[in-house]
Amino acid sequence: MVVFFSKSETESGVPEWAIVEVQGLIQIKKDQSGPTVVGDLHFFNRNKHPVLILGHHVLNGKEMKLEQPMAVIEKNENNGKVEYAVKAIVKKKLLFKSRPKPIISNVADRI
Amino acid sequence: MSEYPDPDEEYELMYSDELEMMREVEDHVGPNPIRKKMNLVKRSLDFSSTPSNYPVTLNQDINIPSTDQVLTNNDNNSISQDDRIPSHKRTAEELFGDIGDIDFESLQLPNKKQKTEEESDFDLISKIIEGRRLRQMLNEPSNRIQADTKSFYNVKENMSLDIPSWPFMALTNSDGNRVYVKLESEDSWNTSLDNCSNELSLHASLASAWEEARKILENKTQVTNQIDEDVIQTPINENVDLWVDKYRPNSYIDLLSEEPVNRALLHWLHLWDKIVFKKDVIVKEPQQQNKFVKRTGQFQLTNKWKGKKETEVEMDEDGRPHHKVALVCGPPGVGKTTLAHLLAKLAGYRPVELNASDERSTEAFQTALQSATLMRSVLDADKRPNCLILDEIDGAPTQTVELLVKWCMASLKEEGKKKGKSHPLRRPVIAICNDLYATSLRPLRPISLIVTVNAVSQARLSARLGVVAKREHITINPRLLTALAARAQGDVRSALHVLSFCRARGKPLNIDDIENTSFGMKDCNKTMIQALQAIFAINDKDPNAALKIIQAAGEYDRLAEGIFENYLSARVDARLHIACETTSWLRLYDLVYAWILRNQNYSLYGLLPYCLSRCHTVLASRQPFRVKFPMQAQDMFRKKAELESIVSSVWRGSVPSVLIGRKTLLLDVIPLLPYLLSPQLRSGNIQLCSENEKKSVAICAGAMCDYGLQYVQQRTPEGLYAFVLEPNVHRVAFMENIDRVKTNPTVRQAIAQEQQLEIIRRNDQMMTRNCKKTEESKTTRKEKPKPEIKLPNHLQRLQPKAVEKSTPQVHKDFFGRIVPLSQVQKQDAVSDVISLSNVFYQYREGYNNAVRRNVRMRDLL
Repeated sequence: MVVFFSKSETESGVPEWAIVEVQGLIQIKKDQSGPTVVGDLHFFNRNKHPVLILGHHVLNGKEMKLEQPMAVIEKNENNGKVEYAVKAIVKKKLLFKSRPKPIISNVADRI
Repeated sequence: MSEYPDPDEEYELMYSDELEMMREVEDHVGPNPIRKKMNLVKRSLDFSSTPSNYPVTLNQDINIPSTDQVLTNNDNNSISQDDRIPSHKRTAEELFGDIGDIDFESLQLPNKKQKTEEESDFDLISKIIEGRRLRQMLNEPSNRIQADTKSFYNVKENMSLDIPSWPFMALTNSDGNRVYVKLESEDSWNTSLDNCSNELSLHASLASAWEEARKILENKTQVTNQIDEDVIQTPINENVDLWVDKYRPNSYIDLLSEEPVNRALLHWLHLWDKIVFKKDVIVKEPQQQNKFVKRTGQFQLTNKWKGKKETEVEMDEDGRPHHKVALVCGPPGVGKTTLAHLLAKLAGYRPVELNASDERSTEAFQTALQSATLMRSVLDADKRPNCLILDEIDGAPTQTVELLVKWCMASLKEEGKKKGKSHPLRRPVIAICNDLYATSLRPLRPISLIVTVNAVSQARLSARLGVVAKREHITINPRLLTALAARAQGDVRSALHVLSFCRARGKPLNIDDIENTSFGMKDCNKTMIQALQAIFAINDKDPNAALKIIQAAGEYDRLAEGIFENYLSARVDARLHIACETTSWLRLYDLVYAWILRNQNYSLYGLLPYCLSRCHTVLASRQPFRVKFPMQAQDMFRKKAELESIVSSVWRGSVPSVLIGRKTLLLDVIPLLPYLLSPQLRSGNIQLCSENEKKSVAICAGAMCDYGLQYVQQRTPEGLYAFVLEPNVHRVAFMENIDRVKTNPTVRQAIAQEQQLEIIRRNDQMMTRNCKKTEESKTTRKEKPKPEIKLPNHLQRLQPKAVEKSTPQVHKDFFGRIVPLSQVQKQDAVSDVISLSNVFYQYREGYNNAVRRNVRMRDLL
């Protein structure tokens, strides 16, 4: 399953976004109005691999270059005139297709 | 005569005690009247059967005392006295047990000391007594000996150290003492003689007693004589040894079998000497051998063993003979077992026999083999090594024979390696069989020395029968003996049995007796082929031979099959009269046999051979006729089963819409099916066919689907792949001519493809039909509940919804104990931000949400 997610990054005025593609579903327990924090995206320092922390899972992914770069365009109507404003450019995607690793935090004191 | 005591004499010795007892208890009824009766009967037989013998034996008995001294008379007296008081005798037995001879000698010793010089007769007497005792010992069990051991000279009565009152003769013994011996007067001598004669004329009194007893018996039973007499006489025969045993050969020259045969077996036994007795076998020089051959020139040709000896090495590296087992074969009754026993004894072995009556299972056989060949008899005084004789080995199961073979093949060197695990053969084994070519003996034949004992020649057999007859005091014409020998066909045993049977009947033999006696043959199995040959050949000598052979062969059903298979070619039969006659007899046979099998009543089983022998009278001819082995019936049965299985598989595979009875299927549908399945097509390519042809192919494919037929690719012996109809209805329809309606291989392939498509189409139809049905059923189901709710809206009441009570969740640990809530909460409190987050991730491996569309099979077709 592919989920579109964007991440902002600045480059020469036009921000550059990236697609986050995940093999699976991102589910939310409770309906919450307003923006929700889904997870944290990090990059390894050494090899620039993206790491996504979703709930109690850690996903290791890789950066891929899109064959066709895409533009995120906003349609505006001003007095019958239609304007398209380029919000961002998408050149690459972050692909998380491997099986996620669980984060076990609640370890019993004594086994 | 000296070796074989007269039967009467023997009887005298055996039953002297009983006779005495009988005389005593004659008046009053004895404790066991039956036994008494038996004894009486025995006496009578001797009187009646051999009246001529009797006086002779009497004279003999009298002769002994009359020629000897007074002392023997006294002896006899003492015997009689002892015997008359049975209690005294009993005590003596109890006291001394079985040590008769010791007793005897110790008592004899002082006797000799005192008398040796003067009365040499004493020696003679003691010799006579000893001789008698020995003979008695030979003839009967030891318990009778006591009677003689006590018959010593009565020392006290006839001798004294003081001067006696009776007339005497003075003597000096070895110690220098004076001894006075009694002198008998003429009178006392006579009286003692009288005593003796009284004693011996006991028979006369017994005869009278027997006469009385018989009268009583006759009054009692009142059954007419002949049958009853036979019944009475039978127990007598049980006591007497069979003549076969009685006249068993005791030495090598007594053997009736041919000289080379005996010699071969004996030679083979001697080859074992090296390993058994640890002495070298003396192999004769060829020159000596030639000499021997010259001497016994008549055996030269038949002696196969001689030829073998020169060429083959007779010993293997272990010092055992090359052939480990001697396989003695021959017709029943020629003395194979006797030969084996006698030769084993002659060669210094103790024969141990294992025959068909013993257990033949592999384990039992193995233990028997080991015990017989590895052990040595402890009880036997002479401690001779064993020689195993396996009688009737052709009756043993194959596994047993294989075990024997394996055991024989094991060599001594292997034993050393294995250390006692296997015990190779170290003793000679003689196997005896009737049928050398029995299937179970196949493994044994190559490793064994085969010794064939042929039927005894008529001349030798009749000569031997003459000797036996002479010993048994039967006066018989030599011509009759020759006839008997011819009738026996070399079977010594049956000839002897017939002779003894005739003797037991008490009538003089005549030629008719011999011709009519049916020889009870042992182990005379005829094979089925022999019986069939007998059926198709005329036997001039014995018209009933065919019947006998049929009865001997058994397996009447196979014989009937054999007749059925051969009857058309047996004789020239232009008008089929013979065939009609034969079939009518066979029909009767079938009728009877079917009845027997249906009712499980075998009372008519005896009739079956007669049906077959009637066929013999019709079919027999003088020309040599090659009988075919009956295979057809079996063949046909197999074929029938095969075809029936084809029909039943078609029947089971056919679709319900075309399902009919099996018989109709077989008779009406299957014969026509091949025509339907071979449409006329111009080419194998369906696309090129006309509309009509396509239709016929479609019909063909439909029919194949209906009847569950299929073209299956099979590899032919030539390596090509061919389409074969499965199940093969062609075979049922046209029997063997499968090629009658043959379709082109390419056409077959086309049909097969069409059928595959047809099958898929049908399955698809079935699927859609099922879907429709389910849909229909769903709609009906939906519709149905509607009419049930008939309540108008205004009458309906709202049902209050039950409130679900949420029971407080109780935490339990592993053992089911309730954990206090505080503890659980405390644990929960530990959990951090990560586990509290509302977002979580569900991994879906291999999932892809690419665009999908359903494509139906019918769209492709």
